[in-house]
Amino acid sequence: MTDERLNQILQQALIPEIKDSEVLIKKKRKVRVMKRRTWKKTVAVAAACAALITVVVCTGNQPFSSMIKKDKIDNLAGEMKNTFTFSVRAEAAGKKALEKGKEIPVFISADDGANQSSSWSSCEPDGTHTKPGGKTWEISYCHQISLICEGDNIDTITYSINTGFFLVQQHGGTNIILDGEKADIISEREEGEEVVIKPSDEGYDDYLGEHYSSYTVSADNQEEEMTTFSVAGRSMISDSDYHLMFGHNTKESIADRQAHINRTLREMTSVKNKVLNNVIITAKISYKDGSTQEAKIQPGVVCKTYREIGKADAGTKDADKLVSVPTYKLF
Amino acid sequence: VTANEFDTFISAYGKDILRYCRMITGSSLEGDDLYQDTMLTLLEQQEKLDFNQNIKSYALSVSNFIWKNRKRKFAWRKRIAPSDSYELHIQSGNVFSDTGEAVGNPENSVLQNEQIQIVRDMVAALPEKYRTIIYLYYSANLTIREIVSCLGLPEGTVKSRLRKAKKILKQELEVVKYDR
Repeated sequence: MTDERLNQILQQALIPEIKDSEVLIKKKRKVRVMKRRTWKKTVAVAAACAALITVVVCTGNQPFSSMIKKDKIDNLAGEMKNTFTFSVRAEAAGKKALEKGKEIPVFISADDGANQSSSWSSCEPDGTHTKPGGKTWEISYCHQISLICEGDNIDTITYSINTGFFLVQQHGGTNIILDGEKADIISEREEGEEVVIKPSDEGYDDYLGEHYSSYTVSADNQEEEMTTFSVAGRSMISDSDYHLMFGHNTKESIADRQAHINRTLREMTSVKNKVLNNVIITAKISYKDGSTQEAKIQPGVVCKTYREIGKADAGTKDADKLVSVPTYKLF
Repeated sequence: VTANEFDTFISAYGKDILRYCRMITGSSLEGDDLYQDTMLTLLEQQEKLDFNQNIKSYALSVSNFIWKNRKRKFAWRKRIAPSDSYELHIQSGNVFSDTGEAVGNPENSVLQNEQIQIVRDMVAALPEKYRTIIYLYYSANLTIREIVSCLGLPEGTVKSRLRKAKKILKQELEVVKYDR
């Protein structure tokens, strides 16, 4: 083969056609929750000061204790109700509110969403990877979550999990975790020795991952652009589920390919949900007055077409292509 | 760089940068996202950019940096669930992205797409130091000098890596009898 022919082959393979419309800039940076809350606080403080000054001017120089009656105190307490709502970060700039008892699908984005939000693999109970053959199989999973808790008077939110652990990944120097209980994860065995993976074991300098069984974040600083949260762990699945998950034949004829991919995604989604249905995240919301409330959230996945998630118009090539989308159910 | 100059830059080089992003990530979806992030980063630095300098090389080094960071992030997840899932595999386009479009097309079109995929797979399997240079040279359409400024490597190193990468590809293509 001549150099000219090689150049020709590489140019043909590595220079695909790109349409003009594809190079337009469509994304926006994330809108931080913190800014809106700061604004609300400032307005509330200013309004309170104005009301106080008005009362003092109208009543002369009487002592405060004689001015404020008990019913007024009760009214004030009534106005300061402790409430919260949960939402999930969707796409780059938006978020989607969760509703009690409903399973809400949320397409995050290409980088943190459909492609990379979930990672699943098979392993034997001792941690080494294996090929099909046994009756039950242990699989490991890592599924991204992006919860935001908002409301009045919230101080902190503590997340805990009933099985597995949280993986919190933060870019070098960033730390939004106020407090947390670390989880030591036994990752693999080498020649009969248990190996406990610690974040410092490998040189991922810019991205640090920590394993937590529970962690606390401030209501004012729940998300950073480069910080991601995932639920992770291991679970046993049946032999038939194992084959639905990992035993697909990728060499089917071209004519059946898209139907095959869609069928495969549906089957894999059902297995993933069997695993994720056991995972319950408990969120403990602590208010500034010392009171607390609890909410439970269950992660999951659902198959949606590109048209359903607004990524392709009806009639276009990808409109009926399926994609796995994370879901959240609030209890 | 003014807004108009930035638009001119995108129309002149946007396709090269997007093509590079798609190639280096191995997927249209990932590549589009990397391209958008690269352009947003450039937009944020718009006032500091000098139109007389080689912004294209700079943009590609930004893409490289973002992609490396993203890979580090996913490397952590893979330590917990280490192997690539089938879903990721099929969604990433490694198997189906191009051939999928060929459904219903004439047989030769399918064959051509499969040949293209063979070459892409071979490039994707090269060690990173060779692969990056191949993508910059062919997909991003950079000259040797521009690759030097993009990667901050000596010119001799870039040339020898390009030569070595081509040698490996040539040998592999001959093994699979690509041209016969």
